Amino acid sequence: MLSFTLRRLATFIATLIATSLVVFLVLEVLPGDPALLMLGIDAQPDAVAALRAKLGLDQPPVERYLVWMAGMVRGDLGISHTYGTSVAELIGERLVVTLPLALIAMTLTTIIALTLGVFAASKHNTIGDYGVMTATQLGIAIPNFWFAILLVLLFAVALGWLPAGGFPGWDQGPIALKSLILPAFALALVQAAILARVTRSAVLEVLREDFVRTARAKGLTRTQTLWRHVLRNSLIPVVTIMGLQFSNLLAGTIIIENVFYLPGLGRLIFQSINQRDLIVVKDVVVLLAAKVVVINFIVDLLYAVIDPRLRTQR
Amino acid sequence: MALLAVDKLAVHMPSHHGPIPLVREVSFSIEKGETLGIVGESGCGKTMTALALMGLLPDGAIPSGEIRFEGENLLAQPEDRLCKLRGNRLAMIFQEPMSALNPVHTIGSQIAESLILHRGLYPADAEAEAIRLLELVRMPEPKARLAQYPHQLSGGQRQRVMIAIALACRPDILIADEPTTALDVTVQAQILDLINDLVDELGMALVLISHDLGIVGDITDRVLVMYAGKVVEAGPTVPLFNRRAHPYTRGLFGALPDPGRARGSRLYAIPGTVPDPWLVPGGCAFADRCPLVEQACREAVPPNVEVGPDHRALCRRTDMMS
Repeated sequence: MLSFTLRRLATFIATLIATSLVVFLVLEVLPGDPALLMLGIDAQPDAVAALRAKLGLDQPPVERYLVWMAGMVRGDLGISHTYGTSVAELIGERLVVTLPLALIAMTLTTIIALTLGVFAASKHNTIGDYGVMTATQLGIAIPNFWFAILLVLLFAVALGWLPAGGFPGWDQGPIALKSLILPAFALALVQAAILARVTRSAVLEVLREDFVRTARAKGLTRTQTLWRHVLRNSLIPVVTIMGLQFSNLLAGTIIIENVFYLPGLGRLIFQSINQRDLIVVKDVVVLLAAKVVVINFIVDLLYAVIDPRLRTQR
Repeated sequence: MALLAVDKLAVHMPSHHGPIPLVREVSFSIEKGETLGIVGESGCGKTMTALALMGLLPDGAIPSGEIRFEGENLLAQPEDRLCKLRGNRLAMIFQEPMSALNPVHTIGSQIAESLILHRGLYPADAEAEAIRLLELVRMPEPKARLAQYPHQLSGGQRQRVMIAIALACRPDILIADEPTTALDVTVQAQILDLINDLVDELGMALVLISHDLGIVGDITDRVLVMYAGKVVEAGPTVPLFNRRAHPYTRGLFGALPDPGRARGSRLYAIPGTVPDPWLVPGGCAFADRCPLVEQACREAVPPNVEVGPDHRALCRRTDMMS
């Protein structure tokens, strides 16, 4: 277990170095002046020169890279050009919206997907199965921003139960939580549809295993067998997809955050790219790479929790 | 009243060609404590017969006839009634100990499961009972096994666990479907001895399914020989093994290696193969492979001839077989 963790840590560091190198090379070393890019083509030459000095672009690239990395290690991500505040603070502010949103959306996804997937598999080739397969096909086909608008029309405009958008801040307590419910549902729909299909096929595969017959021979009913013996054995592919989906939720929520005017990480990325705030962009890209490695590590740990055969090999 | 009486059991599987008969008109009965062997080649319907007894036929398979357990027709019982009998009064062990245990649950929890389910034991009592069961199946270090997972045990040990699970509620009938086929030869003998001893000790009835005549001859009171879904010969083990009234039974024995056989002479094998269930010929199903075949065999279903006390063979040429 220790060597597994150490190996993972090495992968983590290697990934971060590789990502930061690529980002740095593309944004700062390849031809094209970052200062000019950030200020736009019509900028005054002295303004560009001032920004070049501020960004340290007159220093040699190796030194600039090392300074950036040293800052990362200290938690100092630099000052955003457009916001004028520290990037670390900026990301932190956005994460307190995005992280809870992602967690709620993932919880909804898991509950809906496992229920539908197991149900469909247990009713294989019957009306119930066809119903779930059709519904999930529809769920995959519907664009989530459109579904989000439908949700707003129904629950915010027509019924007035939930806010249509915006985020009042966590100091508002329950209202803040309420404003995350519709976006979480909008995000969960497509994901749940995909995950339900993965769950269904994984469960169907496990249902053919011999130990399922053993469980039935013990006197367990079909339903008991399904939940006690089949589900856990089908979780490996399910957890794999869940890891990918969770990664996606932490950065890929740009559209939904825009629909609901949520000040999340996705919106920060969108705005920084729009405003060519390269300082924020390069920090966020490295952060997102780190996130993927961390989530993969958690998924690997979950594999070992699910299947004892995977524990001894490490 | 017999403990288990099977009357004209048939199992059909629907297909594009119409329903395929996998088991046809199988009848037999077992008394308390009796041991019955079912032998035949792969695909002859042995396993389907066993699964029908447990009510665990594959999806789509349709059983007909009667399976009376203490007078109660199991084929007419609802699923929840069968769940109360399975693992409790009727238990089964399977051919593949490697895949028959759930890889993600501990041995202890897999044994305790049916104790909790049928006997309503508390988890702690079920654990203590699980240790006793592992001792019963002569598992070394039973207590340490509880927390282990199937992949940490050998094939023979896993089959012992399977037997412990099957015996957990002291069933009246144990159905063992090729329980030793997947094991090493030395382990086979140990497992077989164990089953034999436990059947005596606990007074269970045993249905032992095997293609291995040696195993069946050693531990059963009665034998059914099955071919293409039908029982072609049935009788008490010793007379049946001596007389071998059906040409197919004789063929099975011929296919056994004989230590006294002249060196270099070829092993006898029954010519041809078992017909596919949807191509079973009319008349005698064995006709195409039978050395004694005559025209009448192909034209009509053979009679069920009594060849000795309680010993019958489905063949019109039994007179030629003495």
